[in-house]
Amino acid sequence: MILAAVARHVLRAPARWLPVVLLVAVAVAVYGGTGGGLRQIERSTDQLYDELVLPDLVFHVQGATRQRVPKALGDVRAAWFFESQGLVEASDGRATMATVRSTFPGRDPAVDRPRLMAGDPLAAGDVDGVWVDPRWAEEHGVSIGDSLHLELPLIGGDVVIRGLAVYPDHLLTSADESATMPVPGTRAVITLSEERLFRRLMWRTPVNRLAVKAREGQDLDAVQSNVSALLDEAGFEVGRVERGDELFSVVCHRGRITTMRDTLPAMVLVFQGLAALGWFLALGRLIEQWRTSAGTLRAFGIGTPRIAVAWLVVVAGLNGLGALLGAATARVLGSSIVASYQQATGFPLLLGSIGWGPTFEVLAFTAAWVPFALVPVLRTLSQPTTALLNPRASSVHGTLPASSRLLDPLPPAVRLGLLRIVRAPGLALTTAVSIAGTVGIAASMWVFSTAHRDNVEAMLTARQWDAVWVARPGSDASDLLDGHRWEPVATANARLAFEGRRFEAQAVAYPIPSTLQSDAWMVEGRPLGPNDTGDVLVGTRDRTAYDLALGDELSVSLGSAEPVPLRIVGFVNAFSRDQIVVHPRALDGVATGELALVESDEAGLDALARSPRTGVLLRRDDLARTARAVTGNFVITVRIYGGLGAIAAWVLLTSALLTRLRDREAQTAALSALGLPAGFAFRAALAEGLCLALIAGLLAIPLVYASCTAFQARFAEAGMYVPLHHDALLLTLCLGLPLGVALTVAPAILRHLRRTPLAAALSHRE
Amino acid sequence: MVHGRGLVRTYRSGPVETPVLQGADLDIEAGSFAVIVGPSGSGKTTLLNLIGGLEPPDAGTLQVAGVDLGRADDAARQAFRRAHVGWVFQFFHLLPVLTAAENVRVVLEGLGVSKREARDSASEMLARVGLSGKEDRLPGQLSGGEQQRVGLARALAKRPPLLLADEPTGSLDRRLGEDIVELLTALVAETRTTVVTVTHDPKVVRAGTEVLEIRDGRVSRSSG
Ligand SMILES: Nc1ncnc2c1ncn2[C@@H]1O[C@H](COP(=O)(O)OP(=O)(O)OP(=O)(O)O)[C@@H](O)[C@H]1O
Ligand SMILES: [Mg+2]
Repeated sequence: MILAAVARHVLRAPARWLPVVLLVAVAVAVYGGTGGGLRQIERSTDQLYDELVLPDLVFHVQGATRQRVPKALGDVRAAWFFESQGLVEASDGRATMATVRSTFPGRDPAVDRPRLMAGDPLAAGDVDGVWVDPRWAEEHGVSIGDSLHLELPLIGGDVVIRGLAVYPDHLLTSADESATMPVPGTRAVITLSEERLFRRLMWRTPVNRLAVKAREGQDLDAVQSNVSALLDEAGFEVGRVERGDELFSVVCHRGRITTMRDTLPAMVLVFQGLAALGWFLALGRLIEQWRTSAGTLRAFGIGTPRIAVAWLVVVAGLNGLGALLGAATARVLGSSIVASYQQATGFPLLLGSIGWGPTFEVLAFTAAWVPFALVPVLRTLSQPTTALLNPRASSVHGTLPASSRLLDPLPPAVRLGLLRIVRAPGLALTTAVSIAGTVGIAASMWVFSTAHRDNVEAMLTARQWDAVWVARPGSDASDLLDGHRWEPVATANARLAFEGRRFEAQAVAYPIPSTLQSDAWMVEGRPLGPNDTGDVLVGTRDRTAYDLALGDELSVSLGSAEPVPLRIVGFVNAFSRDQIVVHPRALDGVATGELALVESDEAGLDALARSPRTGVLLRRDDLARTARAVTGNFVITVRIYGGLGAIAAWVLLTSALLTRLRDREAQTAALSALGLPAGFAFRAALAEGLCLALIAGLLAIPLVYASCTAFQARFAEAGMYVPLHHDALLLTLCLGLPLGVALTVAPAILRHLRRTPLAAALSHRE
Repeated sequence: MVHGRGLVRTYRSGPVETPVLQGADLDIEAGSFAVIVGPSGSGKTTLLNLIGGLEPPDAGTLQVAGVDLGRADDAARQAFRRAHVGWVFQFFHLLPVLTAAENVRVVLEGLGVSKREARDSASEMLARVGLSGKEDRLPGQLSGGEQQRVGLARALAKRPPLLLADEPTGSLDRRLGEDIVELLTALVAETRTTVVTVTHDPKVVRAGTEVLEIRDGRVSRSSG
C-alpha cells in the first residue's frame, strides 16, 4: 500500500527518476559491454596462451656462424623452431616479405604451438605442405590448396598451402600494437612441415633468432653476464640456464606482457565511479521530492522503517530497470567491440558469442549500489516530522557576494540565471563536478585517441617517398629505377650500449641531404649534416625505452665492426623500436640489403612491382592502411567510452536543468502572472544552463590534461611516444560538449515552460 | 473595471468533470476594494485567475480594464497582465536568490523599464512598505510578513490599475496579517488602484468596499 503510493509518486516525475535509471544503464552498458567484449577477447588469447605456451625468451642472434648452431641447439630443450626472413611469391607473381618458421623435426612443440584454424595437419612425408597465417592469406588472396613459391636459401621452392594457422604471439593485445597484432601486409608466418625441413634444410639455414651465441673471439661468460643484466633490467626472472661450448640458452619468465588490459579496466572503474556519483546526486534529488509525503505518512503513524523499506524497494526497482536497459546495450556494445577486434586482427575468437554471464554479474553489481541509497533516505527520514511537513528551508543564505555588482550590466533574465548559480553555489558545484567528470572522460578519450592516430599519421606523412623497394637477392636490378626519383638506403645490424645497458637496432642510412625524407620526420633535434659522421638519430620509442636525451653518447657497433661512440643529435618518429639513423659513411663496408626509397606515380610503381627482379615493393599506402588498421581498433574502443561519457554528461545536465526548472515552477509562474513574457524565464534558464555547462567545462580542462598525460606516460612505458598537441581540440571538447548539451536542452526547457499551467503552478508551495 | 456575464469554468481531469463556475455574473467598479469570499473549493481562486488573465473562461464574457478576456489568446492575455495587473500570492513566490530590491527590480526590468528607473522605483516601493534598510536581504533572511511586503512592493512597483491578491494574509499570523491589510488599504487609497482579493480573513473582509460571495458556482454581492 505504502509501496504503491511511493511508486505512483515516483513515476509521476520522470525528469527525476529517469536520470537514476539512465545512469545505471550507462554504467551497466560500459561495464557489461566493454567488460564482456574485452573479456571475450582476453579469454580467447589466454586460452591460446595456456594451450600453446608463448616462448619465454626470444633472442636475436647476430652474426652467428651457421654450421654448428643447430646441432648445439638440438641440446637446448627449450628451442624448437627458428625463423628466417624471406620472399614468398603467390601464383599471381606478387611477392612479399615473410617470416618463415621452421620446426625442429621430431620435437613436440613445447612453446608457441600454432593452432590450426582450417585445413589439414602437415602429414609425415608431406614435403611441400605449409601452413599460413589466415590474415596473410586473406590479404594476399590465397587459400588452402594454392601454391606459393618460397625464395629462401636452402629451403626455397614451390610449396602448397595445407592449412591456416594462428600463433599466440600474434594475438596478445598490447599497447605496442605494431609488435603484437598480425599486421596486414607486413608479416606472415609460414609453417613448413618437419619433412621439408629435414630433407632440404640439412641443418644449414641461417638462424635469425633463437638462442644466444658468442661472437667469434668473444668470451661466452661476458656475453652471458651482459645478457643477464639485460634480462634483469627488462624485468625477467631468470630460471634455468643451459650452457654449451659456444652457446647458452636461458629459460626465464616474465608475467604477461603489460597491455591495454591494465588501462581499460581502470577506465571502466573511473567511469563506474562517476556514474555512481551522478546516480547518487540524482537519487538525492528524487528522495528530496518525497520529503513531504514522508512527513504525511509519519503524521499518520507509519513508522520510519516501513517508509525507508518502501523507498529502497522503489530505488531497487529503478536500478533493476536501468540494469536491464544497460544489459541490452552492453550486449550490442560487446559484440561490436569483438567484431571490431576481429576486423582489425583477423583473429577468430575461440569462445563463441558473448554469453549472458557478464550481464548477471552486472545485475549483482548494480544491486550493490542500492544500500548507498540509504544515505539520502536516512538523511531525509532522520528529520523530525514537522520539518518534513514544512517546505524546504531556503537554500540561499549568508551575505551577498560582491559579484552581484559585476552582473548588474547584464540583461535582467541573464542576470537572474547567473545569480541562481552564484548565490547557491553548493548545488551548482556538485552538479558541475559530476558533469565535468563525465565530460572529462569523453574529452580525454577523444583527445588521446586523436593524438594517437595523428601521431601515426604524422609518422606516415612525414615520409615523402611512395614506396620502399627491395631488389631480389642476387639480381642486379638498379637499372629498374631509371626514370624514378629514388634514393638508396643502406641498412645494417647494430649493437648499442648506453650506460651499461645494451640493445640491438637496425641502423639505416639515407643520402645527406635526403630529398625523400622530410624534416617533419624530426621530433626533436636536427637532421644529420654532411660531416656528421660521429652523430646518430634515434627513434622516439627508444628515447622513452632507454631514457635517452640529446647529447647522450651511444656506443654503437655496426655489423661486426668494433664499437664507436656516436652522439645523439636528434629524435625521429619511428614506427618500430630499435631503429637508428647513421651517416652513410658509417655503413661503408657493413651495409646489407639493397633498398631504395622511391618516389613515383602509381602507374610507375605498378610497373616496378611487376618486374621479375623486384623483391618487395612496400607502398606508403599499404603502410598507412596497416597503421590505420592497427590504431583503428584502439581508437574505436576508446571512442565508445567517450561516447558513453558524453551520454552520461547529457543525462546529468539535462536532468539537473529540468529538475531545477521544476523546482521553481511557482516563482516562474509568479513572474508570468505579473506580465513578464515566457521568453524571460526561458532566457534565464538558458543562461543558467550555459553557465553551469561552462563551469563544468572549465573544471573538465585540468582533468583532461591530467588524464591525457597519464595515458601518455602509460603508452611511453610500452615504448610509444604520443605527443599531445591538441589544445584546440581539448578546449573545444571541454567547453563545446557541455555547452552543446545545454543547448540541446533548450527545446525541452521551452516546452516545459509552455506546458506548465500558470494557475496550477501558482497553487504549489515551494 | 471588471464586468463578467455568464462565466463558466469546468475542470476536467480524465472522465471526471468538476464544474466550478456555472454562469457567474459580476461587476467591480474602478477604485473599489473588492473581497471575494466563499467556502473552500467554491471557486474563489478560479474566479481570480480568470480576472487576472491567467486562464480563459470556458464560456461567458469577461471584460477587464476594457480588454475582452473571453476571446483573448495566450499572447493577448500576457499583454493584458503586463499592462494592467499586479499579483500578490499567499505563498509569496519570491525568487529566493534575489534580494528584496532585486525581486522588485527584476519584474520592472523584465517589463522593459530602464535599470536606473527600476532601481529608483524599487527602493521607493520598498520604503513605502516599510522595508528601508532591508533592501539587500534575501527572502530567506526576511520574516514571513516582510516577505509578503516585498511581494506587495513587487506587485505595485509597476503601478498596475488592478491589484489581485489570493489570500495575501493566509500564511501570516494575525498581527502580521493586520499590518499587511493596513498597508494594502493605505497604498490603494494613495494610488487609486482597484483591488480584488480572495480571503478567509475577517480583517480583510472588513477592509473591503465590496464583498462578493461565491456559492454553487454563482457570485452574489453580499452586504459589506
Ligand atoms: N487544475 C484543476 N484541476 C481540477 N480541478 C481543479 C483544478 N483547480 C481547481 N480545481 C477544483 O475546482 C474547485 C475550485 O477550486 P478553487 O481553487 O477555485 O477553490 P477556492 O474557492 O479557491 O478554495 P480555497 O478557499 O480552498 O482556496 C475545487 O473543487 C478544486 O478541486
Ligand atoms: Mg483558493
